Amino acid sequence: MPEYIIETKNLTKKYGTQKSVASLNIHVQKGRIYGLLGRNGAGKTTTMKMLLGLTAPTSGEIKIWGKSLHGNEKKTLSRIGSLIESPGFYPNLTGTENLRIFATLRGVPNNHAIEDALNLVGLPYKDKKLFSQYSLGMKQRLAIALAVMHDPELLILDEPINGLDPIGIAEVRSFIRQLCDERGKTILISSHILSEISLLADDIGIIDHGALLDEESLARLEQKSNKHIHFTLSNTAQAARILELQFKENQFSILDDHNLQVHNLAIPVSGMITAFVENGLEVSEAHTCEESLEDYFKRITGGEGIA
Amino acid sequence: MYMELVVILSIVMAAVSVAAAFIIIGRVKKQIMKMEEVLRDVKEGNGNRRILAASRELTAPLAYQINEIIVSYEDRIVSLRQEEETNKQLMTSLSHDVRTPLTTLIGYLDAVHRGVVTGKEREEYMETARRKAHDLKAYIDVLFDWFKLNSNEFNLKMNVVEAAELTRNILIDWIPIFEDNQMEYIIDIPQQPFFVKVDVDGYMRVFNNLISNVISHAHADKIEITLAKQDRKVKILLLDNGTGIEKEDLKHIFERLYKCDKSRSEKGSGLGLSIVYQLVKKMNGEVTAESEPGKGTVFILMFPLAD
Repeated sequence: MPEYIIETKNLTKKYGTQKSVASLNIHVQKGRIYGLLGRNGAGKTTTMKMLLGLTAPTSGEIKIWGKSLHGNEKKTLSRIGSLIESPGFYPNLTGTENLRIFATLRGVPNNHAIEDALNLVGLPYKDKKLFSQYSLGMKQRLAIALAVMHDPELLILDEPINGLDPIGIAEVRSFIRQLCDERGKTILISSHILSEISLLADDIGIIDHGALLDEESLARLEQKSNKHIHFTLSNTAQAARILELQFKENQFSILDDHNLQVHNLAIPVSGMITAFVENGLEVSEAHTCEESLEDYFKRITGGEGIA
Repeated sequence: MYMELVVILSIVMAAVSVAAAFIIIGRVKKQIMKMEEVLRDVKEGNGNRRILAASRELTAPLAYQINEIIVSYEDRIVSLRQEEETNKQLMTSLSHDVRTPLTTLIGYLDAVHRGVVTGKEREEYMETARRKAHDLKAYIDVLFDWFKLNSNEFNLKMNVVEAAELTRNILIDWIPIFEDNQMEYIIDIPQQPFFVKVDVDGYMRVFNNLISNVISHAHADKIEITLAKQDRKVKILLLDNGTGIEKEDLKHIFERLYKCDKSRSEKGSGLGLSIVYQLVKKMNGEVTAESEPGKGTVFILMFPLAD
């Protein structure tokens, strides 16, 4: 039984009659990166706002660290770092001064927390530049610094790579990965970019029109979308020899004594079956699996896909 | 009159200080309660929890100290977890990447054993099996190198050696192999000595892995190896005119088990460059790669000169 840091039950948010989030059940496991994938307006930000107590759910329940968020906001939220839209920084103060204000208000785990956070996102400590003079990318970096400054156990980051250049994106991606792998943090991120999520997340929740379409680990999804022809037959050693000699094929993997996958879809399945049978093998099953991750998302979101 | 004033004043002052003391005690008490709650969580195994305190608070130094202790223990747990992860990956590699070639090899030997083939064909089968056995051994050698590097069991003996001569000696053994593969080679190593502090065996492995990577994956017909001094470093370039590496792949080539060719059965362990990277890092050097698809790739090695 995995340990869930965030668990929602039938979480719903209505604006008037419009359901922005509908009966959402997501499960974020400890020490993993959970990617919430969906197109613009799918309900990602609303979900995150509800998780952070910024807006009240219409119905449903949120459990964080196994406890209902409602009524435990103060204790729970101090353990979370978040980046959601843009935080209110003072334009007439420097980045360091802005963080110092938050450090005094919220408390920090050590004396060098501000410096560490700025280092992590690649901004200079005690720089003279005012926040109003920051570029979009720098503002985003400062917002991330604020999210990690108190060394929280759980990070909720809404589209963290918005406004960053390609190098910045790679940097942010690698330190998010590092926070998870080396420090055991639990991270919930959202994105509308499939490739971004598939590079970073361990688990993926696909959300469309406020509803969760699928929730699965990336490893399972990749397995699902790995293109191959699967054979179940009596002797994989002989089958491998036949593939090499008759089909000049070496792109296959042997799973066990009876199961084998051929990765080259260009070879006709019937030809392979005939060759196996002629060589005295019993073939009990053969099927083709071909669907790319993108095809899968397209199918699951009803043909529109996720850009 | 004057006496009365003094008495009243001292009473007021006493009252104020008692009140102030109560306020401070109250605040500290609240902070201690907060600390206790966090520590209870840590005791139950949550090493990610931190005590938050603003730096001006009385209890802040205490809180920061406790946090530091928690972090240092957490670091040790993390390194243990990483070792565990390495072990798991070794197991996966063994089950996937050893099983396929080994089962195929058995396929040939069984065919010989059962008398499926005779005469010249039998000889061919035996030769194929022998070759496969050698490939498999080479793969396992690489796998264990990588495993040792990752569990820090790889002992490097750092000595001051002369790089130009050492490099020349390594390359001499490769010249017949370049010729066998009909590759043109240019080697430019100056006569003057360059002293660097490296592990000789590690240095050789770095070269051997890089060159064999070029031979088996780059599809190049020309290789150029130059050594020169740059600032306080020795800079070694390994340039080929092969197929090059796509930008997206280039970022990952030094990662473990990364293969540019997505079909997993392409010969090679996916560990060679990861070993290069780790060895170079352990010898205080740097390795980077630049590439232009269709034109070729250059690997750049830098080692600091010994004083």
